[in-house]
Amino acid sequence: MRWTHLFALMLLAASSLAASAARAQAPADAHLWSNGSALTLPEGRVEGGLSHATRWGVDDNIEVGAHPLLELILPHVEAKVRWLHRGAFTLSTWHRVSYPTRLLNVVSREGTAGLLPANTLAPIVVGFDTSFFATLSSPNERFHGTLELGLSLAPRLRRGDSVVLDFPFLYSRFAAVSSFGSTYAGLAFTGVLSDHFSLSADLRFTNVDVVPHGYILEEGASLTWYPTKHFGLALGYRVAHGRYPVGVRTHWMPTIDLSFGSGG
Amino acid sequence: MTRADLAIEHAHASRRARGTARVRAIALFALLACACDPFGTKFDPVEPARLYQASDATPAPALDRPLRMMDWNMKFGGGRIDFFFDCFGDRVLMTRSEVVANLEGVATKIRQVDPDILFLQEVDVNSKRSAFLDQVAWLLEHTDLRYAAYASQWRADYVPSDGLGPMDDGIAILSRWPIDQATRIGLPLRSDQSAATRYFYLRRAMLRARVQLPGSRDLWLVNTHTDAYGVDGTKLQHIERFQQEMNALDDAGELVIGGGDLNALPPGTTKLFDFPDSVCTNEDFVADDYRPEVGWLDPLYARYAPFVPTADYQADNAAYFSHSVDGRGFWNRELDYLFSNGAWALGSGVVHQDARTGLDTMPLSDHAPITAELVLP
Repeated sequence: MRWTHLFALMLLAASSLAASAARAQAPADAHLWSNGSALTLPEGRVEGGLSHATRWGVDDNIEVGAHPLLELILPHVEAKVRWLHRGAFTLSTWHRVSYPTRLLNVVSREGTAGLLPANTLAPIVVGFDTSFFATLSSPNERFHGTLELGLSLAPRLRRGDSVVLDFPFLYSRFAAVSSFGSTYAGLAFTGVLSDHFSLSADLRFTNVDVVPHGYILEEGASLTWYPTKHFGLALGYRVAHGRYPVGVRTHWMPTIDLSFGSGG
Repeated sequence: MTRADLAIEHAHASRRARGTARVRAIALFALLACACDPFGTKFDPVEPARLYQASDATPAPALDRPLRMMDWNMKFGGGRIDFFFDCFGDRVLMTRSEVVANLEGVATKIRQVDPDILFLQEVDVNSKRSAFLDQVAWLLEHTDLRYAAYASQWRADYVPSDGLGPMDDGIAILSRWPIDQATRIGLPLRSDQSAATRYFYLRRAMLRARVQLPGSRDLWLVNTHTDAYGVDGTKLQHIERFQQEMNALDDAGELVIGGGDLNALPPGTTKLFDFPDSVCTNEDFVADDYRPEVGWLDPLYARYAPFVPTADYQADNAAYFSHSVDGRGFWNRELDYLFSNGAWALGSGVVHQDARTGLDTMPLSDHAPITAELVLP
């Protein structure tokens, strides 16, 4: 199946879900939605979307998730554990195990979308990501500020060719695959503006050891509209600035995301 | 407030509104323009070229002999590695040591020829495929040429195809004397490609530069590398624009040398198609049949002196062949040129095909370098 077809199918499914949710006349409530902070989903709640993993609140302190489409090219599973929730302060950790070799093989190709040469012998790599989240929430829990510190490791189980995924916006996300390990730190802010709207912004610095003093500073912001309590539409942008093997570059892109959620 | 005052106030308000609308329109246009070139592949139609000089740059003294010109498509320091686009292999990226080893060969040949001015095509300055080595800067440090101008022909923060990644490849002029003017002049884009392919594809150009020769008049230089694979007549447009540029300088009474890889065969060529080294079946990389192009270079030959006189070439085509895709064979067509409105020294035009001219060039590039000496007025 072509990627364009897959994307169209995904969009159709999300639209259908949104339409059915709207027909149900469910009142919107932006408070229900997770926000990239240390907070975990309430027990039983499920959330998913185009650009983020589908997650399930196992209980109030643990959520697990995976992105169903990304799973096809980047097998992975992730979990977030809330360790401390006292007053306005929440502390949690996020963990992901992935198998990037599949993705490396997919993008090692001739022609369009060939991010690596077709003759690349991809190493067998297992990715381990861990982030520590500390969130401070406003008394009314409408606003959350989060500090994130993270470590990514990608040990090679079989040596292969040297691979550097230096495509903008993938470079920092696969920094560990390109260089064995990377560290990152970030700040995020989310705010519920009303029952129908929320705003989020984040900034992340990733150390990329592919080149001396390599780094990526990525920033993004989005505004999400929740027409119902089951559906959200986000518009925003992301900017990445950093030192790549080719030199210091800045890229930006508009973002659009569809979210769905239920339960909780 | 009188009716006239009201009219003036209304006019001011309208102007302010138009001004605000204009600012918004400009801002929107700037935003769209920025969004339409996310990988930085585009150029202005005419823009300054990038200038270089060696770390120990000192202008050479005045010449007491003819000016020695050299032209070489150096294949981005790729030597005879079997790249995927040649259809002999599958290589895309080189290691830094491979690039340096190939450049050592190129620099050795340049030092042996000892040119005063060098035209280069397919020189990489910041490409993933050549380990991000700035080949113009490297050659300035490893030859006796001290000044350079560079114009990109293929630039993208990222080419998301075939594993190419970041790319900056182009044409350059290297000189013993300072280059005081250098301009990149864009050539028409191919029209036979999809918009997405065209966005990431080569944007060919001419590099026009001026060198102030000590003890002589100014010398204008025009270097180009015309289209190779288009089937829409783009190559002919490039050749015509190249000649127009030379004509403009010639009409202004300037001394001009133009040249480069024109991807076209000289008048009087007997073999026009079915070359033995053409193994590509992918039409993106097929450039094997020159029959529709007969006569395309005639106007250039009619107005300017070619580095090899037409009669000499017609007497022995093979002695001047300068290109072969397959390094295991031998040169089988002439694609590389030097023209001038001045006078070339009799018999000075040479295609450096093999060790008879000092060094075997077949392992160094898929083009052989050419040289000729111009008698300075």
